[in-house]
Amino acid sequence: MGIKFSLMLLFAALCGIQCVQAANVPPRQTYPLDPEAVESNAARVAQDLAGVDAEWKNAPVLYYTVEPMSDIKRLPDLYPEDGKLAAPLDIVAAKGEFEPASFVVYPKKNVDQFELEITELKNKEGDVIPVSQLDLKLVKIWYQCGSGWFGFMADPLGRTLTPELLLNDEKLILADPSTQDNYARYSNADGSTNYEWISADFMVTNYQFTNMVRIAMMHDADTLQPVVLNRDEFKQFMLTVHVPDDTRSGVYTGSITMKADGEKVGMIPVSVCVLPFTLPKPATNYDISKPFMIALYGTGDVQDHPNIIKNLVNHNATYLFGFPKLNPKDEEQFAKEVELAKELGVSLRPLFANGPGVHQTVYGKEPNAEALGKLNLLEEQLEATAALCEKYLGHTDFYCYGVDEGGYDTIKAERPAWRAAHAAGAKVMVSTRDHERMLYSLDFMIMPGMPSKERAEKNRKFHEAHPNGLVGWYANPHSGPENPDYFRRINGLMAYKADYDVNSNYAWYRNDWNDFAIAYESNYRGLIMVYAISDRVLDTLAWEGVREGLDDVRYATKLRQLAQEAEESGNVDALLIGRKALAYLAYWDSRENPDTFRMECANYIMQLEKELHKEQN
Amino acid sequence: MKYALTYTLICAAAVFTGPAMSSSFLQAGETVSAESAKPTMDAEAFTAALDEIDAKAAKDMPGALEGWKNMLQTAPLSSSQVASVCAKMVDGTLKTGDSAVIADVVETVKETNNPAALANLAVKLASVKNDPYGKDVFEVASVLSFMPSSTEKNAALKTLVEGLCSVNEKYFDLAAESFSAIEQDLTPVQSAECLASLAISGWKTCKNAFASEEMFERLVEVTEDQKQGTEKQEYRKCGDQIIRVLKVYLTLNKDLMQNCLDMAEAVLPEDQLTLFKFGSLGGAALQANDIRTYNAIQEQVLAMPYGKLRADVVTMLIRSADNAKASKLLQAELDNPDITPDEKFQRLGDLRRRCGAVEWYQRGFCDQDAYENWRRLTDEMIALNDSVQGEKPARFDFFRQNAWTAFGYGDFAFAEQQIEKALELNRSESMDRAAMIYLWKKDASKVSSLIAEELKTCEKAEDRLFWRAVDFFNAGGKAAEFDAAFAEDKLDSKAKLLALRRVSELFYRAKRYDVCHDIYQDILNNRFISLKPKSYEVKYVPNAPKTADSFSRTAMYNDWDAMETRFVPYGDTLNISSDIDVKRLLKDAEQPQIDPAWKTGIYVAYDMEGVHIYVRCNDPEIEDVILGERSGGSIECIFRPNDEAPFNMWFFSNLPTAKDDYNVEYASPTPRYRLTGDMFERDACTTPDGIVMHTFIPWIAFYDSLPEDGKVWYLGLQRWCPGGGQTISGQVHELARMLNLKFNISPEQEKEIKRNLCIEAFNRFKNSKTLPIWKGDVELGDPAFYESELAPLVKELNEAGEKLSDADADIDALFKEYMPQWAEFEYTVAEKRRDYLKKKFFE
Repeated sequence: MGIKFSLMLLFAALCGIQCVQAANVPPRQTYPLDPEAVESNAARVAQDLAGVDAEWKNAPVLYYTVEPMSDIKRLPDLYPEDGKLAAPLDIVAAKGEFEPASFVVYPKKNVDQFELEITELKNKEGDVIPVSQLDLKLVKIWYQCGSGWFGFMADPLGRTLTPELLLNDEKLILADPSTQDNYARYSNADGSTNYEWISADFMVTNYQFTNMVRIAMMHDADTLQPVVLNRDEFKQFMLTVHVPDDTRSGVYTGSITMKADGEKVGMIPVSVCVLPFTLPKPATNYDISKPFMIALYGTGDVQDHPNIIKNLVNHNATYLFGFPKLNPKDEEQFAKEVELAKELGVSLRPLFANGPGVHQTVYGKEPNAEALGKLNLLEEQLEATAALCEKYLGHTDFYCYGVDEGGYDTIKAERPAWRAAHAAGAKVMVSTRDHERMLYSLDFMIMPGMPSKERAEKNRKFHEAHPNGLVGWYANPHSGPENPDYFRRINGLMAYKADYDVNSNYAWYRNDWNDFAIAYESNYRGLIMVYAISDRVLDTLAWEGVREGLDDVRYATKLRQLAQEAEESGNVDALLIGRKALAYLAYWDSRENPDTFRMECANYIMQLEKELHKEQN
Repeated sequence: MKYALTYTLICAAAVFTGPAMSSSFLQAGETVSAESAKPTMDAEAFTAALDEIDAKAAKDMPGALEGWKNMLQTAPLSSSQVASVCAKMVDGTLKTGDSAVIADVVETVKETNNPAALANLAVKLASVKNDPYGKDVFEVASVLSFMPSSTEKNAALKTLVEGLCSVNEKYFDLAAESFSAIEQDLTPVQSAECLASLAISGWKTCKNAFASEEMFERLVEVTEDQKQGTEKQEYRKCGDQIIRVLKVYLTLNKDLMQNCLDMAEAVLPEDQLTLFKFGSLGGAALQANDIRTYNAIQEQVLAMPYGKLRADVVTMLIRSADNAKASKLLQAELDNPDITPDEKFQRLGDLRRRCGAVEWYQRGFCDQDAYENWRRLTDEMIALNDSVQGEKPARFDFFRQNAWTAFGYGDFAFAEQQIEKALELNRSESMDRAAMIYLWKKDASKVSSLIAEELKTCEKAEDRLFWRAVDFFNAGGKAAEFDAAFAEDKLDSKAKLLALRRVSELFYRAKRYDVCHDIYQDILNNRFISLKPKSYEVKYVPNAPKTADSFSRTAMYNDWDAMETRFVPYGDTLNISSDIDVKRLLKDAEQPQIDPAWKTGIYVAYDMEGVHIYVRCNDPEIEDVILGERSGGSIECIFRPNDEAPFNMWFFSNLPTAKDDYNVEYASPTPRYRLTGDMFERDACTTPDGIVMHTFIPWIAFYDSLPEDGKVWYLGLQRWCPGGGQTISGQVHELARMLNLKFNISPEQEKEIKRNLCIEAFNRFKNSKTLPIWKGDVELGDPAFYESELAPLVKELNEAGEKLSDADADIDALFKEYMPQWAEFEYTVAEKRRDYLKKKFFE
């Protein structure tokens, strides 16, 4: 332990932090602060105050607007380098889009009850974006494995404070600096509550799964609750605006009132510029007629949880693995699930990881009786599944899953089963290394490794060999890193530019609450993007990043569509704007800033709309 | 077919080998009957002797063979013991594939004239891939077939038929013919068993539906004969064989199953038929998600009269049913007006298991109503139990489990009430849950008294230690005092560790986290080896070698003392398993060592341009790598310039090339992270001793985190090679144990490095690709944006850059103020552009 860290712990102790277990009441959430940083932060804030209105000079609580999807790991003693003191919270969004904004508050004194009250947003004509479409959340900082924010592998000797969870009730989770542990508030069956240690590693529990989290006992509030503020401790909040589809374009304004222990201590102006267009579904970089998708492992088994499905759809994840479940032997259930999927906006073509598994293997020249029996049965199942899909959805675009991460020999042995899928009009998907020609009969290759330019050539070849084939990616990184900028890029423009069709990372959800003890895989961190509690999933920074990544691609798609229209318009001005836009897209490099990309796209889109639809204007 | 193994030929062979065999047989026959009266070897001694030979077999097969033969010749063995020895001998020697040894074994077994041993030998020989012992199978089978009738022989022939028929088509034919020849000697049940095996193998092994149906038909005939007879038990056993075949067909070939079911329907006992048609077919439908079929079956089941048969069908169905379907069946069972309290209790228990997931760990989403349902049914079961006069249906484990589940859901008072009941019924078996609950209540005296009681009867040493240890911590003992408190036990470190772990688990369940923390820290700080990261002093080497090859031609290459060589075999990772804790992490564990032939050394040097990492990887068979016989292995590296920074990762995926098949970055390109692919240069080469790899990291990659003023950089490295995995820094991607790279940069060096960096960054700014476009390209750029947002900054950066040519410039000040601005200029432009456009949208 370094001297700096010892000092932090000492400082934390002096702040009166108590061991959570000792007093079974919610202690005040405080974090360890580096005294040097506290001093330097105070000086910098004082310097910033010189440039803002006088009313802020003596305010007990200040705020900085910050970039919501930044790679900066915002810790309680980290001055927001990218922040703007007392600036309005400005958001640019297309119609129908979810768009985040963020701010950190800086208290100059302790506050027991810090509240944020947001108003509806109004334009000059009196149109409103109602409060129900404005979601304010606290960004909870808690302890994660030493590789937190960056990696997905366990780092068992390290514990690092990491911002991740978007909470309404700060007290649902308590991070205890005295031992660098997390506690969850359990709502007990007898009406009491207690704080449960949820960061004990397997050594504590003798390698039993006792240290797993019982999600049924965790409840978050429905709206943002008051939080505590501790002097000198920065605290981040996230505002996600959903612009309803039928919102008129223009600027909508409102505010967030900050109250400290009942007293109004400041107001944050909020402005949303609603752009005059809606975004299309994302399409691939290499073919604008093909969808660019996100279909993640761990999105099945949602049939009993409509709000969880809605969460996925609202994050652009409209393709789910195994939902609705194609089962010709239970048509009634399938029909029910299709209805639910339609109601909630789940995409129904194609269906991924659906239908019977095509993992039957035949080794040797011909199948033995047992294998033959299984293949016959599979053929029957596939035919019936295809008929069901056709009957309800009008297509047989469903992808059956093969043997996960099988080697070349396994892939060879699966060919009869894959053939059966093709014979029924179905398709085959599986996670696999790029075995090149050996994968000739595969329809959807989910290849390990982050989407990088080095893999673009592999993708191009796969598409050449499979004109209707799909390429997806997973692993390296798996889910786990909390950095929203990173997840935005790898699930958005990086995958798009490398000519992927699908983001299929592992995994969206499983019960991996305890980052220090992953059941069955103790060499990993939690491989997830959201955390389930009793009645919903909790969003995370990374999951918000994924949604923004897909939105980046939707902007690019919109721009490409308009550029194509311009090409065919006979309007030379439109054509040249379109060409500029296409050149911008083509030469955009993954090192560039995706926020700037978004603004440039919106700018080009509006120029093209204006030029192409002059007469209407 | 190399050997025509038909039953006719077996007979011919018997004639050919007749005299010797029959002589031997007669002796054997006499011996077998005489032996039954002889004293035989004690079972324990027999097992020990056999185990001893088994242990020997791994290292010394000829010795083991002698051992088995000696046992057969000299030990007073029963017939079944002879068969066991032969079986061991056959299994052991067949693995060798040594034909001479196997021939010896075949003769030895034949000489025993033990029917079971012969049957086993024939089946094992027949099962060897590519059938190299077909002739021996034939001979052994013939020996067996010509033995006089006896119970042992019949059982052996049955084994032979059942074993051979599942090997392949050829042996299926032999088995079928053998069966026909011996059928008259078998009991009806033995015949049914053989026919069932033949019917199954007919399809499973031979894909021959005709043969299968033929055998099945004969099985039905045998069963029908029994139906007419008086032996009802025999009839049911034959029926069991029909069901056995049908169940297999159900999984393999439904058409065949249906045909055979049609054949058997009139013959099978009614209850067996019903169980199959509803229970097995219903269960199979559920497993195949065939809900339509299942629903039809369920309807029929619910229409059945209440009684044992229906209850048995329900029990079969609920095994495969989901909670909703199982609950429906169980609810209907509970409506039975004649249900007994015991049955009702049982069914409520079944229903309770289907009311939702209440286990401690659930991997998926939440089943919100699970506990409420569980509690409602539990209350019902308790009321039912209380209402029963005399012997109650609930045993202690019902209450014990209730306490466990209720405690897990925070229903504490109920949990306590239930554990008290459990303790009344069986204190000892309820101890674990009781201790959990009273520890949670911090009722130390109750815990102590329970433990005192337990220690009076507890015999297992491990458990006695555990309970004493629990009481020690219950009484306020600290982990640091544990060794002294238990000194008289003379425990080794493993026993102490395992006891402490078990105690910790119990206190964790009891939510007594203070004790867990105490134990955890004690283990980590006092019982484990040091897990602190290693440190290495980086060397200053002016104009350091720029490639692996040039490094290998310097004195540094052989200077092992200057290298970091403290690699350990991969796997010394925390929190993986108790096994690793005991074998790798305990202080007195015998630490595995790296094979010196595969020695690895890291040499890190810096110069004015940056840092060079050289890794020398010895490979005793480097010729194989050079000639392409095999890969030179791989190296996995991570690097971090400070303990809050992202880490860069790079691989040498296939040494001696420097190719990286992974190309992974664990952060995105921003002013806070530079891509590995952009900054790190790599190369590798072979040498007569192995492979050298080299990585160069220019200072500009980490100008904002220079290793000045005692700051360290971190390097993680694992090597994968035929000599085994090696690590200098724990598990892959483990940041906490990365090798600390310590620098000793002099003030003069630091100044020069910073000056160089400023110049490089200033040039980067000067060569900006975007600036001329923004400024001067009216169509593609945006001069207005340039003028309002960039021009002042550009002017300032240019002016600052001009100072660099001044020899007396304050490099520290320029470095601090302008280095980031020059180096990250493009990012700044992007941010300004973002803000500029955003502002425009709001105008």
